[in-house]
Amino acid sequence: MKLRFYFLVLLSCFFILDVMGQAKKEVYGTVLDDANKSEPVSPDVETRVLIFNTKAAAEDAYDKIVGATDPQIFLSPDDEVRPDINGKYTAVVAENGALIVIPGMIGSCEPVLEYVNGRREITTYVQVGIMLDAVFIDGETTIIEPTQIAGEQFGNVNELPGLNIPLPANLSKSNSRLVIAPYVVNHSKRDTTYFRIPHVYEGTEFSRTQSRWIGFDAKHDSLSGYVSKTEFIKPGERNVFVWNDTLVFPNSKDNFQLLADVTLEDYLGVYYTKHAELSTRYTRRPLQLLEYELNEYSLDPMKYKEMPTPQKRSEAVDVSLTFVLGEAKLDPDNPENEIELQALTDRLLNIVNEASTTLKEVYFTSAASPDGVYANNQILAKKRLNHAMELILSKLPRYNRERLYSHADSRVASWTEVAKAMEDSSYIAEAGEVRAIIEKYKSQDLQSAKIKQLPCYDLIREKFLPLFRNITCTYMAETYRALSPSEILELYNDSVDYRTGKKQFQLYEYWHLFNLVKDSMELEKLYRQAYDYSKTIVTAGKPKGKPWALAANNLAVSYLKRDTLDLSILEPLVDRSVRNCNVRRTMGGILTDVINIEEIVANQLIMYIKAEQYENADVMGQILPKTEKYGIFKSLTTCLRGGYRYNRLADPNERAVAREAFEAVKNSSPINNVVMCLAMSTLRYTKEAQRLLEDETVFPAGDPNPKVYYLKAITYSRLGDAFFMQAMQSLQLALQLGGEEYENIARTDGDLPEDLKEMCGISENG
Amino acid sequence: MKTCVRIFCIFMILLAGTFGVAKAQNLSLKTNGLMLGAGLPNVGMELVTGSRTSLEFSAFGAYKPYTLDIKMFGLQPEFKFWLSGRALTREYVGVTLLGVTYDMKIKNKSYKGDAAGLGLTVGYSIPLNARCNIEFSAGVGGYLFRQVRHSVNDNENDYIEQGYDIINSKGFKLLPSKLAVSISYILK
Repeated sequence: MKLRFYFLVLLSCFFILDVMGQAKKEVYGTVLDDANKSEPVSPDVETRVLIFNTKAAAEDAYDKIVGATDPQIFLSPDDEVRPDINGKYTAVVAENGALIVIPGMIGSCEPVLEYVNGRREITTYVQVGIMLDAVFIDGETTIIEPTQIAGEQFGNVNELPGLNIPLPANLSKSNSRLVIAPYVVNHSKRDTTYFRIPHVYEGTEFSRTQSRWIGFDAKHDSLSGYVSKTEFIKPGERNVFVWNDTLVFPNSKDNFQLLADVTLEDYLGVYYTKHAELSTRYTRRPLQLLEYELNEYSLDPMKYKEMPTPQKRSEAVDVSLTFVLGEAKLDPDNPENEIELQALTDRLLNIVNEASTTLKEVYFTSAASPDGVYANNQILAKKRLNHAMELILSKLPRYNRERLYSHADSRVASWTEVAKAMEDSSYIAEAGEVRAIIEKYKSQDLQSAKIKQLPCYDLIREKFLPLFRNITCTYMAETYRALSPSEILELYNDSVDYRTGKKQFQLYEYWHLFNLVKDSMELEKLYRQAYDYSKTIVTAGKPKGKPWALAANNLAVSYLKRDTLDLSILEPLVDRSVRNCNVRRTMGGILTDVINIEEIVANQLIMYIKAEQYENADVMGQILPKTEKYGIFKSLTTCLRGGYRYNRLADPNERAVAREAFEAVKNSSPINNVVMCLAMSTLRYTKEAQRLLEDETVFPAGDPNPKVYYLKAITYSRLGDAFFMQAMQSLQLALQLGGEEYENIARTDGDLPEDLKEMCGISENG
Repeated sequence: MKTCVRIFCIFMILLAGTFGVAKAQNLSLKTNGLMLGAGLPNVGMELVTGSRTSLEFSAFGAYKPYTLDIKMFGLQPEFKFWLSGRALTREYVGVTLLGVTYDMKIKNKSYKGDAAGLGLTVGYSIPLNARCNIEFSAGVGGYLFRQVRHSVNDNENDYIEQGYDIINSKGFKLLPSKLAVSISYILK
């Protein structure tokens, strides 16, 4: 019993001791180089001491380190210290804990596991291998390797300053010629777009001795015009040839790159060729995410109302009069004769008596049916015509009759016309009989005689022959009266010729139609008709060739509303040599023209912006007045063409203008604030962009706008590797929220590093 | 001697005649400074005959230079192949012929005769500007000679028979065929 008691006491002592052994103590350690036992490890080798309070955790970590291939493996020591220059350190560790001494990077040298085991001083010897002294080597490239220029693209214009071809000393010879042939490729369409002018540099000896080449003629050297007269290849030393270029691409969306074929030749031929990339594969488009609204400007129609002009109008009226058979007298038994005659007479008298119209010409044509003897019919037709003319014209005042040009024409219809009329009325069989007779007998008299014998002759005589006994009266009147809006609309609705533009309305009438027609597509057609027609005429305030401002502006506004571009509509109305709006030109006190109507200039500016022709848009912006209405346009166009970079300008006036434009656009919205900061490409502005993006009062957390996250991705990627994870997370969010649109933007964006795009799964080809 | 002069003049006339024909070829006029320094006036013309070849024809003579009793006249055509790839520029190798007639008295000995031979030359031409070159060249060749050799105190008539010199010395020698620092000017 006693023995058992003492055993238990002894056992509990061990337990207590063990617990006491887990108390942390200060341990003084020294790390020395195993190769030279008295020396600490070289300070070039960064040594770490990981502290573990339990042996098991230390052993686990040690196994991880020994088997590690990645020096960045995750370890979770309880603490970590680094020895000083003498290799000494102090660690607070449990007495039965352990230390792992790691010289250098994980994987470079063997770590050492030290169990504390209650020790207060631990000396560790590590093997670090043989340290070599640093060696500095001066190297020089022996091939042509140009520095790729990361251009900035504004719209479809890419500026590439500092394009260069460095020629190493080993390739620089006095008797050589360097030919640089740049060309632009479209990576999106995998096509060569166009070639740039070549750059040719010669060694002095090559240049001097060209003419000694037998048969040489400079006129036949296609490169002679491109040889530099100021820069030469200096033999035996490194030459760098630099030039600037601005590329204008066919569009702004595709990914373009400037490449070059570089060739070196001497007297014996080509001795070096290189396919060089002069610009980076992806360009920076700093303003592609800029936000702006482009609202069209309409003209006040009341200011552009046109005056009516006299117009000749002609009308043709069919008058159906029946005559006594075989005579030139109207049939008195037909009351319609009187009615028809009276209607025509009244119409002519109305014209004559109305102040705004003048009856100028009257044509009468009469026809007689082919029934009977042709010659008699002809005489009869003429007599009937003269009778009808006498009846009608006698009603007109003598004054007007004397000033009226009248003409009459009579004819006898043919049986062929009768047969056609019968066919049109579905009397095919009967018409066939008539045609058979026409074919057989050439004389109309004989035809008449034979047709009379046909069984269907009664039908012909009653139904069809009267159709060919008529008189038509056509009169031409000059109208000096403006049509009323309802008349204009009626004419537009009823007349196919006017609707299709075969006949033209007056500009005054178009003006009314613009207000009366409601359908937008019909209106657009009217605007186009009026626009085209107005270019052919001269009116007050509009010289020939210049379109009507109202029609042009309305047409442009209609196009802009449905995102259609046509830069030619308003161009004739903008005079770029005049740098003001609403300039009135007069001659002898009479207004002849108004130049650069401000609404038109503003709409043309919008067209240019939408067409991404920012240089032209900026020209329009310079014409517009500096008012609150247009002030933002001026700043916007300056920025869009890249003129906001005030920090690159030397002239103080230009700096002030650029700065003003920069600030105006920057302060127009929070997004624009960030975009403009990033567009400046300086560390200060990048940090300001970071500050803005991280400010939750500006961009609240959880903002669903993908643009915010895309801008964050750009900002963080510029701040360095420390922000890589944040850049990646932001870009992933942007892609998630923005979808394919943002993926396409990111694919060709030179602002995002390639590894970031790769990590986010953005492939080059989509 | 007179025959040589006649041949030289005919050749120069023929060469000048090509002036109008060789429209696309360079023609240069040159002189050897070292020979001038030695009292041997000389002149040569060089015609580019191909993209890497040229033909030079030069003549030299001397009449008692520096009071030495030396008279000589020589002609030296040379064909050059330009290793650099361009005629009249940088390095070349060539083949030259040399023909010379001489009459000289040196150290109480009289030598009168003719020599002719073939040699190889190498050279390097430096373009100074579009028209001027400076050329360094040297060569060696083998020459056959025949001469009348006697002491200056002897009676010369003893060595003439029926108006012709009695050749009493013949031989073959390896000699420098060319040593030149020439200045040339491209005429066209």
